[in-house]
Amino acid sequence: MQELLRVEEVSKSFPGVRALDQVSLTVNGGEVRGLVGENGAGKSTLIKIITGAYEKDSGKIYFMGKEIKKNDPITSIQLGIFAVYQDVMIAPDVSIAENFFLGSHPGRFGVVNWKKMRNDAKKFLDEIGLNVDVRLDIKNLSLAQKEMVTIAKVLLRNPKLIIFDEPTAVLTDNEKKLLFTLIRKLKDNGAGVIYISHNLEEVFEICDTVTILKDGKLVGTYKVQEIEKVENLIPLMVGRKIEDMYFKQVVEKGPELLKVEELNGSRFKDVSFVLHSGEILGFYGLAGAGRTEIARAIFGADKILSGSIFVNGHRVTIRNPKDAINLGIGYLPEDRRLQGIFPPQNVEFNIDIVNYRDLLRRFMFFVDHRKARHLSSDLVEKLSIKTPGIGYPIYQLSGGNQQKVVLARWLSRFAKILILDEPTNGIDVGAKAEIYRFISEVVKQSKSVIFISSYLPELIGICDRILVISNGKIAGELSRGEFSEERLLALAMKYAMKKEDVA
Amino acid sequence: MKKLLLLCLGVLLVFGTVVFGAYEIAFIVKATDSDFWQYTIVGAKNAEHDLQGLVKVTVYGPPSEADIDKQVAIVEDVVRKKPDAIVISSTSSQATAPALNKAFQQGIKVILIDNFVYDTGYNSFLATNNKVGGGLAAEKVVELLKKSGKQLKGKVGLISSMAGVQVLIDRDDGFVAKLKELAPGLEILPTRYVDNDIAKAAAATEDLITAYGNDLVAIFADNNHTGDGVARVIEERKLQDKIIAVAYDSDPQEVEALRNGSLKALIVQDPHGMGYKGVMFAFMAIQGEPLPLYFDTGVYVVTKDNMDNLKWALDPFQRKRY
Amino acid sequence: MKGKASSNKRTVLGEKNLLIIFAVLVVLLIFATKGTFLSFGNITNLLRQTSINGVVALAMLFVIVTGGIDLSVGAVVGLSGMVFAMLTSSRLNYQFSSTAAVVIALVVSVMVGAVNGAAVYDLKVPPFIATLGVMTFVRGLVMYISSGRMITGIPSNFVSFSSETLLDMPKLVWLWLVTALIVGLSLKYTRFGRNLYALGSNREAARLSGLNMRLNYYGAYAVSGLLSGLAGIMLASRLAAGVPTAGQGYELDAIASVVIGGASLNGGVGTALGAVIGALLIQTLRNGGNLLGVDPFIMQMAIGLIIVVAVFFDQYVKAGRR
Repeated sequence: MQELLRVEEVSKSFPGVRALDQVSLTVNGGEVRGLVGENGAGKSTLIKIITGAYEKDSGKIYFMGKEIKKNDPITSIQLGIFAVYQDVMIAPDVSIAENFFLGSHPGRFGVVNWKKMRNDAKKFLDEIGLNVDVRLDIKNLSLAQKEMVTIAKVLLRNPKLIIFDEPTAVLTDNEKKLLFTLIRKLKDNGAGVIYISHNLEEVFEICDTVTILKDGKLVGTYKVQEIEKVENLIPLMVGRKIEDMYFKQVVEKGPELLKVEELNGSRFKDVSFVLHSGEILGFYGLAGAGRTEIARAIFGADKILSGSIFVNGHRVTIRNPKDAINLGIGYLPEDRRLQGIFPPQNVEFNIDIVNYRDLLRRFMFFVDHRKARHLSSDLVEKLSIKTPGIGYPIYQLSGGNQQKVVLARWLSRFAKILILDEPTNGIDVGAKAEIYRFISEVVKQSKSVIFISSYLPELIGICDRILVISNGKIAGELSRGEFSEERLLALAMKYAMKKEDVA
Repeated sequence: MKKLLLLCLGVLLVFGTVVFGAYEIAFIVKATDSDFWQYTIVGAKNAEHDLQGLVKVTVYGPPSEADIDKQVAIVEDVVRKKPDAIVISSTSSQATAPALNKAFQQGIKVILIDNFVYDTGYNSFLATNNKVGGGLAAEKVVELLKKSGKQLKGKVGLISSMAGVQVLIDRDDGFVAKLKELAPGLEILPTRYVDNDIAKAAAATEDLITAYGNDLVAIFADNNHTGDGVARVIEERKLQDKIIAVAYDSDPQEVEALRNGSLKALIVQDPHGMGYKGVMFAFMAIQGEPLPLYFDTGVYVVTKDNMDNLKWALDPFQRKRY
Repeated sequence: MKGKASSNKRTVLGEKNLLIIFAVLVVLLIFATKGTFLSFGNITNLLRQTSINGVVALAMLFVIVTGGIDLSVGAVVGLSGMVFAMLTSSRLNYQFSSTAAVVIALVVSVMVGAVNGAAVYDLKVPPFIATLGVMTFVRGLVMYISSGRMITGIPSNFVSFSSETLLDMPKLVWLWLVTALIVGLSLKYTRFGRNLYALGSNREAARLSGLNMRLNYYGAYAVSGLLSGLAGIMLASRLAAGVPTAGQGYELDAIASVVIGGASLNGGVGTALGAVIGALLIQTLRNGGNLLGVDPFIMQMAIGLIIVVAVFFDQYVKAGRR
């Protein structure tokens, strides 16, 4: 196998953080390399240096034997290095075919040959198994389909090294299989692949070798066969054993906090359940089953068609999130980037924004800034959020730390019912463990949590009860003694349509 | 004479209304947002009033003088309605030509006022000779400087409402040419353009005063808004005796400034006459009377001394008869 | 704690870039004008010339922070001044007291702002289009109520306000700076202000954070209307009249000031101090050009360049720190 990429002792610092410290690695052609580590371990920084989005402070990078002295995104693409990011970049109001050829429209003299463009796009997308009408605007596609279009676009340009950054976070199982087939095809053609994922099972499934980063330093590169199983990988990443991950304390069940009766919305039907203080209630279901929609309806973010909600035994009307928050309900949205964070603002702002009601001076006009700063710095400390300071812009934090900031918002005194929608999506093992710990802290203070997740091990690990939702209806409810992956999955499929990848 | 004319008109009126109905005359102004064009409208409406039902004057105009394309659209719409005559002060010397020429070819009488339009047939052109007006301003400046016993030395500021507008260019050119001829010792400073904004004109005046101090002996402002701005600063700083300011056009503030001495003279056109004569000329053209191709509507120099006699020129609204 | 230090450093740095540009410009001007620029008279002039546009920039800031834009600010300046002038003018029949007229003019301005808010929030019209429509409507309204005429005869004590000073500084400047201080404090230290930043940073996240969306949108546009109205009254005092075209084009100056001041048109970023310095920077260029007698066309080109260069420099320095 031929050496494709060699990174030699590359370092990079940001104000207050040493993001990469003398990291070296080599990737060969025909190799699929897993890149794992906690959030903030330096994976994204390393990728951005390889693709030229960041400049390195020191060290060398060789590609196909030649040193890349001055790198930038265009140079790296010309060399054949492509990256597929989690946040898929596309032009939403433009047709699929056009998105496909964006920047390289076929045609002569600047006149677009629409017919050829459509035919080519159709042919190529068919080949990778994506059957869609290429004339549709791309916004009509699901996230997963958009990602497939982006990947197909990269394949079209004859890549030598492809970097996948959390590619499966939004994919269904079928789509994932399709993606892995594609990756294997690339590998057979002699291209190199760097595969970043927090889903370690996947890393074992698709990768030949795995490189582990921790706190900006290289832990090592191993053959996947040497490591054998996921349980052996985690200690290398976090220095902690998997048994400690799911932190479950026994908390006595208190009075009923929330009761939902016969709730109907556009994507769900006849949902009823109760939630007691001290309880962690899991919501499980396949993607698109209606879990998020139920949560959003309770929080007032979406319209309720009929049904009633009781908080502390009183019937309430929730018309918008403001009403819900006034009743002590908090909601951590599914999509952190689009619905959670306020990108240009600093950590303090991002924590305090829902808490200003508690932070006003007398006469209810000015915000008490000292109090506000205390609140946020206390929470930063309590959740061990890694940031150079509360004045640091949130978009410069790693995904896991951003998630902790959004979570911190709701941890002040008023949120009694906390709805967490995929809180551990796309964040690292260490941060996950911390979030589980927090959830059990929260329920100890006679509050309660609704925990929405597609990841069975964590639901089984921390929930007291799990409500399984299938195609907009409650398919069943299991209590802690009855949990098993098979049962949960079977319930989730109960009302599922045949074609499960329609998200 | 006038009585005879009125009598004739009276006869025509009865005859005309009975037999033909009133003639349709479209009166298109450059803009509806300034007093000047409102004055021409008063003139036109007075003419309509005086013709006692012989003509029906309909007023059109874009909101601002900068809206050349809007005026072109208006002209096109008006031509489609086939009035008997069009009286127009065109914002552009070119843009309205095709539409106007088409109208002229169809037998619609075309009377141009204020601004000439190239490449179109027309029946008559009524305007102020703005070069002459600018020259009169320069004469007044020199006269007043001499009268105050000052030497013809120092700097003269020129504040222009806007760049690239033909009538303003004529005024400024006329002023500069005459001043150079009469008082070569005066230095004319680079023109300041202020987007027809009074506050900006005031700011430019302040800056001229700051930069040149006592060297600044006179300022010429080439329309009413620039005149307002200049006057405001001179009044505020009580520089009435130090700086001789002369401005073009008239509006209530300029008149006030003339009274309190902040402006020494106003060069006033006869917008009322332009509108009035425009409609009269149109009526005559419809009747087949011969008309001069060019008619100078004249300018007046108004000073504090003669302002009470020239009230009708300063505020044509007072002449409203309808 | 570490966080506090870095928080302060960051906010100051944004405006520091701007201050550098501003300082360089001032030093150049001091030398080029041989010190005239620095004279006390010129500095107060400069500040007064900026004050009205400065208040309009603050109005614009409120909306830009929410990720929107308010093109109607200039039109509201005109409306508020005209309403005030018509209510108080001795030549018309209303004869309100100055105080009552100020209150009414401000209420009208707030109402226009609320209409903007309604169009943007309830009718979901994009801010650019909504406020463009309102701007056009309001301009037409001003023309309609004034018949396109300047309204003079407003109370003299009100007119003299704009030339009065307090502690050697024009009252208009105090008004501007006090407004800026209030705006700065409300944006940074009130819940309303914080909510506007949230709205501009991520609308959906703001909704899910329980913000009262309608109240905040209406609030931002209403405050924009209020401040524009205030600027209109200041301008009426400065012009000693209600001028139908007053405030034309002010929206563009305001956008430029706010953006030069470090605000992002994507929303969520921008400060009152930045808007103050941005407005000052633009007026300093005009003032310097006037003092130096720079060719006005070249000056306009320079202002255009500076707008781009200032924003570029600011972003370049910020990017360099990454």
